[in-house]
Amino acid sequence: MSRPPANSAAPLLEVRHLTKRFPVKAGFGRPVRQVHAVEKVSFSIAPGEVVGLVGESGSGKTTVGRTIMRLTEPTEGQILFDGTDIAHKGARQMLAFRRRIQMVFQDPFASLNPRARIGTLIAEGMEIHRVGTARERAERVAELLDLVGLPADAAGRYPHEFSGGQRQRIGIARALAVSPSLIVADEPVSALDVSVQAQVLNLLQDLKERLGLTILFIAHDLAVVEHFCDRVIVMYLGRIMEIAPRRRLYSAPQHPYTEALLSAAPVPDPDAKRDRIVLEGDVPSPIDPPSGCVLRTRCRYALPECARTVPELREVGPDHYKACIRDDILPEPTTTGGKKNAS
Amino acid sequence: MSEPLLEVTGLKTSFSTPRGEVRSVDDVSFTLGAGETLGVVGESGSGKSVTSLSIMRLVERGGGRIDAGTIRLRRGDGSRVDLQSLSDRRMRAIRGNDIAMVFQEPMTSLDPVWTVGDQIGEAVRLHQGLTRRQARARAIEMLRLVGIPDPVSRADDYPHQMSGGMRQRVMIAIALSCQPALLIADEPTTALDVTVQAQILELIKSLQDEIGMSVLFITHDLGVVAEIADRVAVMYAGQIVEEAPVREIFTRPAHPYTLGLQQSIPGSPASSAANGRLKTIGGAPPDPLSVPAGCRFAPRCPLVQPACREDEIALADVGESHRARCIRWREVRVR
Repeated sequence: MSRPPANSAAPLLEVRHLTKRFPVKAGFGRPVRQVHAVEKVSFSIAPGEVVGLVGESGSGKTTVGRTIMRLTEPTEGQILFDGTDIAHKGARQMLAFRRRIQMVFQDPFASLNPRARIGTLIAEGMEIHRVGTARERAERVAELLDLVGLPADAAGRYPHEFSGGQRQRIGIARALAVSPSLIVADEPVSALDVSVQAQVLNLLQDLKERLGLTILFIAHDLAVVEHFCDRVIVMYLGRIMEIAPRRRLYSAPQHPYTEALLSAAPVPDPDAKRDRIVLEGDVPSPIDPPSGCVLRTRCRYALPECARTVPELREVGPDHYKACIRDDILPEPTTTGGKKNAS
Repeated sequence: MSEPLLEVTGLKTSFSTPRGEVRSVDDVSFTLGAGETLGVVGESGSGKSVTSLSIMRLVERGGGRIDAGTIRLRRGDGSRVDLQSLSDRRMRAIRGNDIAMVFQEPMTSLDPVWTVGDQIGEAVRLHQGLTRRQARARAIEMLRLVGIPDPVSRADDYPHQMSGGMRQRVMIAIALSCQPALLIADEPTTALDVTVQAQILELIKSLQDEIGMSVLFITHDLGVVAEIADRVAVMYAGQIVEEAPVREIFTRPAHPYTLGLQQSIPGSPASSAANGRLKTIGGAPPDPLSVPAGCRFAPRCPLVQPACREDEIALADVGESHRARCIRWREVRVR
């Protein structure tokens, strides 16, 4: 594979061989070791696309998001945003890009300063980036509150006066305030109760359609990702296992890890067939990941050669890539489609 | 099911808060048969955890108080006790022996300075008077039972040397070490990854088949309930609003809240995601300090009518072992 997987349109974001290793504090006389958080991750996002990034704890999905935001410095690799590599830009040069990439965080209770009024919190980004006059900013705050379904008087109130779902709406309004091109949303609905989660998902759907948002949606809930995303990237132990359009991924996963992950998700239907594929054992340590394919220690299809080489992400169908050397294990998709309106 | 193992009647539990009295559990009644699994589902603040803590008589420590109700438990010798009226000393003998509990966060429930073998051993020495050597043998046997590989050496591990899934297995080993008749599992898989959750759910199910214990399984996740429960009680604002066999709950819900919850979950059979939108329940649960008169769900209910807001609605029979707290239950439709 010479090029990383890309959609047909010129990508808004293209990540190439992104790697992040965290040093582990060495004890006296012990060599410095590294946590392999993200290893050679490559993917792209087209304008207007919503891409899901799924994986379990330790998969590196959050680190990918934080590295794109440059909240974490990449060890290696490129982050091409609208064609410009931002992986190693200095703080001043980065400022212009920060306005165009915004983040929505998981915990709506921890991500809002409790002593600031909502209006101030939403306008903060506009002030930093010197957008508009004070009056224009106040107007924009009112417009944003309306957009995310909060009352206009919310601007004068404090975070503690709002419920979790309302705070997440405030977090979304903050991210939208500076009209970003890309939103990185890290588990934006996972701290919410299901009835509130559905309201926030509907809001995101509205915003995606009205504003044509491009979103990297990081989540562990497979059903939420299936509902909301156009394309899905599956990560395990710092590496991408599979990338596919939503329909194809959920109906005919081609990677053993995706297969196991999908089969483990509980389905709210007592009559659902449960052919559960249990991954034996635990996730190996990211300090000393297995040689070759990182899944091989838990994979029921593993062959001796899986220990020898790291499998490349290769194309197995339209827009569909997997990092597995075996092609004889999982049934291929029956339909040729896979784009979201091909039903 | 002639002789229930556990029978909770008219349970009311409240907490004093700086803003006033909060009635967290208000008139909760249910039974649990031997070998049966009852799933208790609800969102934050619905009273599901306080119900389980009330049964264990653990609410006082958190500033709570059981105001009314009986909690009858059938013991191994056939005698029946009301846990509500037991002395603290006798209640301690029930905990661990007759009823054991597994909590959500395995890291905070384990003592970091003891090996896991010692912690399992402590439970059996305390409750069953085993010697140190017998206790260690039991600890290893329990670790093997919950599927921890190489239990003889893992017994000497400290909690931080284990993964989250392994720690939750240890918690289950401690809970089951005295062979309780009832296991209360309060969100035992919520902090775990899905593949680990699948392992733990399989484990609880297989242990239940082996030991024949009853399980009170508290969760916010309807998917988990569909997998593990025989019967389901749905809680809202401190009350059970519906209770039925698991298949009934999913195919013929008789309370608008139960249906609304199912419709809110992406990918559930009831969710009708038209043009990418989920059906939602509008609004938010009531402030526990000022619950509405009449039906507590009325302010958010699509079927509400004036009568709903007048008197308290009773939990009434709507079918074979199916109860619902709704006067318009006949009109609740999956589609």
